[in-house]
Amino acid sequence: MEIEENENTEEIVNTDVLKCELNTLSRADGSSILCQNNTVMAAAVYGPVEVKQHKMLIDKAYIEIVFRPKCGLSQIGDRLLESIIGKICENAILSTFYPRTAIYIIVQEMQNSGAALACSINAACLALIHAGIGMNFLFAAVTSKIYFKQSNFIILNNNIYLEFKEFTRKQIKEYEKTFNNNYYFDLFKKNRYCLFIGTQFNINNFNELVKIQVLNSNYESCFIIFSRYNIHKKKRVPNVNINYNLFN
Amino acid sequence: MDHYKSVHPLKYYQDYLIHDLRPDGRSISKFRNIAMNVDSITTANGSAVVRVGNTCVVCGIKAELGPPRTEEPENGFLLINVDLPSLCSSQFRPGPPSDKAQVLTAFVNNIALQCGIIELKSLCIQADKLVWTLYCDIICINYDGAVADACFTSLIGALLSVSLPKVEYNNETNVISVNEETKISLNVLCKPIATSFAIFNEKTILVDPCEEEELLSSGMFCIVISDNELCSIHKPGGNVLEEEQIKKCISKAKERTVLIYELIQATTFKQKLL
Repeated sequence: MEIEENENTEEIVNTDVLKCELNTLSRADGSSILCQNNTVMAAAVYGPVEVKQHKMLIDKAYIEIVFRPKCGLSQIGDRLLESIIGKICENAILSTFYPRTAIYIIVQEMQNSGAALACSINAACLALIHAGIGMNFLFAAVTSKIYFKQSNFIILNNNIYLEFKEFTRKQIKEYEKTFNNNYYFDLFKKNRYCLFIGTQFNINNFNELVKIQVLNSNYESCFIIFSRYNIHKKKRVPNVNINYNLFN
Repeated sequence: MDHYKSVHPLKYYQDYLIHDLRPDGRSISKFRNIAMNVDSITTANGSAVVRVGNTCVVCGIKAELGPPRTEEPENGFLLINVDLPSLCSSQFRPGPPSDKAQVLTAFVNNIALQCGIIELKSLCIQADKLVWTLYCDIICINYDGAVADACFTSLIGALLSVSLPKVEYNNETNVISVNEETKISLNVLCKPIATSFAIFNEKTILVDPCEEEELLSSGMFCIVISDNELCSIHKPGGNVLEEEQIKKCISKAKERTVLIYELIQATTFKQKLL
C-alpha cells in the first residue's frame, strides 16, 4: 500500500528543503544526488563487479565505501563517516546474494552545511535502490539538534531552527548545551538502529527524551524521505518493491 | 575442542553463550578487570598505562610551545592520536595507519572536543603569540578487544598526571622564560569513559568483548558517559536493538564508569603521595 502525500506531510516539507534526483551519472550502475537544505551529496554505486583477489569473500560480496570531500584528500574525519556508512550498508545489502563480487559505493560531498552524515546515508540508499541491488531493508538517517535549558529541551531538525517560530535565534543561542544525534532506520521492520554523536546530556532525561521527542520528530522526517523514494520508484526503478504502510 | 573452535567458531561460541558463559569463563554481562598505572613514562609530561583484561594501552602526553591559529588566538591545541601498530594484533599490517586506527582517532577526538575535556583557553600563555600544544599519543600494545574503553581511561589518566612548567612571555622583548621548578597541573573538566559492547545476535549483547568476540559479532557499539551525563552512544551497524536493551546497557556502562572513576582517583592519588 502506498501512502498519499497529505497536507500534514507538505507542512513539514516546507520547513525542510529535500530534493533528489536519480540516474545522474551514465556510467555508474546506480547514482543519485540528494539535497537536504543546503547540504548536497552525490552517490554512485558500482556493482556487483569483479573483486580484487585478496579482497574476495567466498560467501558474500565485498562492500567498499569511499567518501570524497569537496576538495583535497580524505582525512580521518571522513574515515569515520565511511565506516559508519559502510557498516549500515553491510547490514542492509543482501550480500550473500553476490558471493565473490564487490560492490563499491562512492559518496561525493558537493556542498556541506551541516548534517553531512545523514545526507550521505540517504544518498547512498537512493543510489543502491537505483542500482537495483538486493536489500534486506531500506535505511534513512536524520540529524537533529537538541537544545537544553535545565530540564526543558527543544529538539529541532538541522537548520530548521532559523525558521522556528516559538524561539528566536538569540534565545536558542542561550541553550548552551547542544546534542547532535543521527538516527538511521530500518524501515521494513520498523525497528531502529541508532547512532548518537553529541555532547553531554543528563541520563535521567534519556528515557522521556528518546521516547517522546526524538523518535516522533525523526520518524516524521524519515517518512518524508521515504515518500520521496516512493516517487522516484514509480518513475525509474520498477523492480524494487517497497512497502510503505509501516507508519500507519 | 580446539579443532571444533577453528572449524566452527560461531557455533563454538553459541554453545557457550546458551549457558550464559563465554570461553574465557566470564558470564555475558561480566567486565574484565582493569589495571592502571600513572606517570610511568618519566620523559613525557604525562602518561598512563591501562590494561583491560589482556588489552594494553599506553598514553603519553607531550607538551610543546607554539603559536596559536590566527582564527582562535586564545586557544591551545589538544591533538589526540590513536595508533594500532602491527605489533598489537594480526589484524593490522605494517605501514600507514589502518582504517580502524583512523576511525578510533576521529572518534576519540570528536568526543574530546565536544565534551570539552579541558578548556583550550587554559592552554594559552599569551594570546596570539604563545600557547601549549598537547600531543596525546595513545598506542595499543596488545589488542584484545574493547580498545576504546582503554583509550579513554588512559587519556583521562594521562591528562590528570600532566604537569607543565610555568612559562612567561615578555610582550616587549618577545622572550620566553620557562620556570621548571613551579609545576602546573591541568584542569580536567570532564572525564568521558567509554564502555564497549558487542552485538552477538539480536538477543545477546556481550559486555566488554575480547578480540575474537568482536570479530564474530555482527556489530559493536560504544556508550560514552561522563559524570552521570551521557556523551555518546556510537552504534554503527549491527543487529537491531530494542530500546530496553540500550537502556540496560546504559545502566551497566554507568556502573562501570563509577568504578573506573574510583580507579583513576586511587591511582592518581597514590602517585601524588610518592
